[in-house]
Amino acid sequence: MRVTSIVGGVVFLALTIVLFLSLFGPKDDSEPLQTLPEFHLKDLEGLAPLRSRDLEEGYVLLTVFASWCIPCAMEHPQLMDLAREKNLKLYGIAFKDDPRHLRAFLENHGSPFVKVGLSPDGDVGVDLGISGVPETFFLYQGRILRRFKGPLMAQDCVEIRGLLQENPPQ
Amino acid sequence: MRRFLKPLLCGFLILLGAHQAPGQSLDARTQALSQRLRCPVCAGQSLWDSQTPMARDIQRVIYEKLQAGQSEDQVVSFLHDRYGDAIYLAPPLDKRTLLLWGFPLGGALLALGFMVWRLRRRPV
Repeated sequence: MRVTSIVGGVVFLALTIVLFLSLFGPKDDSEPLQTLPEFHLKDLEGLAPLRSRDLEEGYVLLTVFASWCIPCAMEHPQLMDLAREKNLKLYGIAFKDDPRHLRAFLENHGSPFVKVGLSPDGDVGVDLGISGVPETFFLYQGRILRRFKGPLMAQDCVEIRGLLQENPPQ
Repeated sequence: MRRFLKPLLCGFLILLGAHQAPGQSLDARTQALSQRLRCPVCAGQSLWDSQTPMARDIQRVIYEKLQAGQSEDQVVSFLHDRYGDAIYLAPPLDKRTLLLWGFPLGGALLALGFMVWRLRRRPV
């Protein structure tokens, strides 16, 4: 009986130590997508379409958003603020949105975007691997450096500004 | 008894066939795949059980890809490239999940070993 208790105790202790140490181990939060999938979206203003290859130059912030989405309106001031950065271009993808509502939204809140592509059926959402709107991709030369799920917060903007200073970006 | 055996057997085979047949249809393949994959919005639910628009979108993509002739593995690989391991409802077996998968088996073996050891020690 004594041997059993010792073996049981050792197993329990070993398991506790392994699980406790794994709390501090490296976390797998790696970005599954390394680059953007190819897309070709109609432009909100009827100009040249928004293509994924247009976003392969320099630093780019791509936001998937919608005028009907309340968190998107919440993050909008952060985007307007980031649009002031000289070496950053902002692009938008309107997810399952009506162009009329979208235009009204951008007139009311201002537009930080160089171009807005339309995805009325939301097909591009699964292609990008988003789980909802808003979701933002920070890219350098077409490579995804960070992905922000949910509305951009002040600390996210600090992180983005920090990445803009890095040369070469990590 | 024999009078009933034949129709009973036929009925059983028909039912078995009916159960197997949807496995070939696109709807059934989409359903089977959606039941194995996790909804990225409601993490506790499969794509099939989830009512979120995102889960429906992914189901539609699964259906379209299967319809286009892609295999189940190709569709899962497409989704895994976008959503990572989180898309699997059951975590894949690799070095990170070894403890998770190995513990029940290890625990069962340990318990079995303990039972054998106790039984052998029991006085006859």
